[in-house]
Amino acid sequence: MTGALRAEWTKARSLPSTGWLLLGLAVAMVGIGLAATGSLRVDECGEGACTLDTVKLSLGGVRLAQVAAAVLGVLLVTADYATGTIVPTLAAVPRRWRVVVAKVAVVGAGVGGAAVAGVVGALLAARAVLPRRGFTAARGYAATTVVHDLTQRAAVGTVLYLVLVAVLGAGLGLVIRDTGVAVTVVLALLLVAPVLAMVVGDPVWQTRIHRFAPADAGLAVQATRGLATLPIAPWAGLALLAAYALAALAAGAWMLQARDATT
Amino acid sequence: MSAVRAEWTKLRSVPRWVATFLGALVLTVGLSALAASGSTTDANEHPDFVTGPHGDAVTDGFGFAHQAVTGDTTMTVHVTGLARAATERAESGAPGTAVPTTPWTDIAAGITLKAGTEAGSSYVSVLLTGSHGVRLQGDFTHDVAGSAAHGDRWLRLTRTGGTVTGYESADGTSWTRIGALTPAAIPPRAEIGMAVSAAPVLHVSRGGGGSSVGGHPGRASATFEDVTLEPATDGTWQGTAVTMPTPADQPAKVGGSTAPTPRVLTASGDTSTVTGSGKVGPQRPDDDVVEGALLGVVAGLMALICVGVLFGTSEYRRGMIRTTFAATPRRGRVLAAKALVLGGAAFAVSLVAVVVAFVVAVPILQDHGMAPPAFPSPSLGDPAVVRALVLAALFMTGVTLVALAVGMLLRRTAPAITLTIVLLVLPLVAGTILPGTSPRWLMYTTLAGGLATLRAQPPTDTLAEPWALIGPGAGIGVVASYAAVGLALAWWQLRRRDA
Repeated sequence: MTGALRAEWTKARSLPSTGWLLLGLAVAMVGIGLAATGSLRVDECGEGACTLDTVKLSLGGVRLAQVAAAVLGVLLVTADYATGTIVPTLAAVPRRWRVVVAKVAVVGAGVGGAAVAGVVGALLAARAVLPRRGFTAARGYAATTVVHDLTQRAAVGTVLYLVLVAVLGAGLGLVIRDTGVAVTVVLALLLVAPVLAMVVGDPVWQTRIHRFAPADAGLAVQATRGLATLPIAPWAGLALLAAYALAALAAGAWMLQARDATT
Repeated sequence: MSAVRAEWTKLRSVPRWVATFLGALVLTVGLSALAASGSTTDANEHPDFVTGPHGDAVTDGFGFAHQAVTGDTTMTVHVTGLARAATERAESGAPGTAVPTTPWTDIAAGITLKAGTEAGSSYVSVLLTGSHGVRLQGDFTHDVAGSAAHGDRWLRLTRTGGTVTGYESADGTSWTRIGALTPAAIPPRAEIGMAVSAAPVLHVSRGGGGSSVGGHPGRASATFEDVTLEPATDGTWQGTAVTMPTPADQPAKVGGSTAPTPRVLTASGDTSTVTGSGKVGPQRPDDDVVEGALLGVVAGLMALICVGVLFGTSEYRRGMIRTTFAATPRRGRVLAAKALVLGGAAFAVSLVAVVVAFVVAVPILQDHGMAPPAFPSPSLGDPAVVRALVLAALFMTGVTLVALAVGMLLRRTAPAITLTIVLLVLPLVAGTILPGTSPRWLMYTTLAGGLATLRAQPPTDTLAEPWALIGPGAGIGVVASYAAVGLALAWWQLRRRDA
């Protein structure tokens, strides 16, 4: 198992895109978070109680960061098929499920590390920026801190979300094997549903999309306000995303097992 | 020519690409139908409109100092001091940003000839507006622009048979004709007089993932001098507040101050001051039936992006590019052939997809309440619908060509697909999070702006979808610029870089 892990680690490290994608993931978290919180004005929310979820907004970079995570997940699998390395890989590790486990471990570790850096950076940026935009304790906004348990849940949840998205990408990569198609499918899954929810008029359908689409359900974990009106409970949403990711991975592992690697 | 034939053979001989083109068609139609069945509205059950002379939804409220006239008549006034009255905010909604006014929602004062004083009846008005100059408006649909004057103007309305003509003048002696309208149903005996309207002031608050619209009623007053009516009558001016009927199922405000309505007409000597509240004009929801029927385009584009990128990158992956260049040494010609073949195929598939989506999804939307009179009923013959369908197909073609250019530039599939999809979809997600109208610049600078081509209605600030902030021309312009710049870069790089 160690051998398989080390082999996958070497392959991941030597792909030129890996470093860029991980860097992009962290930069997207911090950069978009800054853009979102920096453009807020407290007087935008009127005289009444301000209900803006600043924690969720400061972690809004996840919408771009997830693209990097998903593509990385896909690439670490499909690069093997595109370059033909899958044949020596399976020759060296004949127990094919071990290859899957090793790949997931490497993807998870890489994305998890970058996600921690990105989330911490985004929260620190929000802590510095928000008071200057008028979001002070007097307006009901304590300084952003991870000690607060809802913020903690949002932070940990965002890291887990990005890891699960990468696993979903890897699973779809194992099923589809073609880089282009797999990237398209995973990005369409993650990005089209929120656009649909925005324009579909019926609230029942909006709730359905928010509840069952992988990205929307998984990101419920970021909510720190309006918890009573969430379409899906925070951890339940993340669990649903985990179910999608594991289902894709199981299908991929089964196909790796059952299907010839070179066809 | 042989280059074009070669590229066409490449495109049609890969079964997966042909399947993806069909997939784009199925996705566009299927998702459009699905999104349509997910839309409902009760705009027709709880109308906030009255039916105008043409059977469409209108709103009608203004202050009217009028008297009855029979047959041909000419009225002349000198309007001064049109201003918004200091009204208190009726509701303390989110302040947000004020929605810009249109010729229909500005404050206005002038002469109105109207079938009667009930809301929704046929009329013609010549009006001095707050910031849209002088207008000749009629029957809630016709709007003829006069001069850009503001503040002080002489206005004249002449009825001759079935035609009503509007004039304006700076000094009351030299007159300029604005235009003539033929109202639908003004009987020989009608009401003519001084009118002042002020549409509700709307504030929209966007950002944080949604949009909300708040507003308070508008009120304006204006002074009329040197009012003359020819032929002269022995009637007197009578002030009436034309108002919308209160919906039966909507209880009157409890506990709210029932402030006495200010007098519509205050006369002193030769000067009359008229005060009015309300809007006179079409009452169309910002939601667009055509756009609602074409939402599947977003999903269809995913498949087209995939084909577009692969049509470029697969040349490099399989080493085919060396054979291609050996056969056609002029590399620019190869790129042109590729763009022509791919663009033609994408346009054909997209046009079929959007037309079928429109035909399938519009009846579904109408079943779900987006039907007349609250919503216009679009048909394939309407110029606005034809424009939306053709521009939507061109938008899809443009994005496919951008995908080809990105594929040729990056030469690798995964980054090319990722970049194109991110440029298209991510600004939409970001656009709902960013506050105010700041998403507008995102729409002007990214492929997402192309979604504005799906709309048949004019742009609006009040919807959640950020692409509604810009017009269809700007939307297709953004996509065309991306395609042109992308293909130019690909051409330049193709010539100087080793294959």
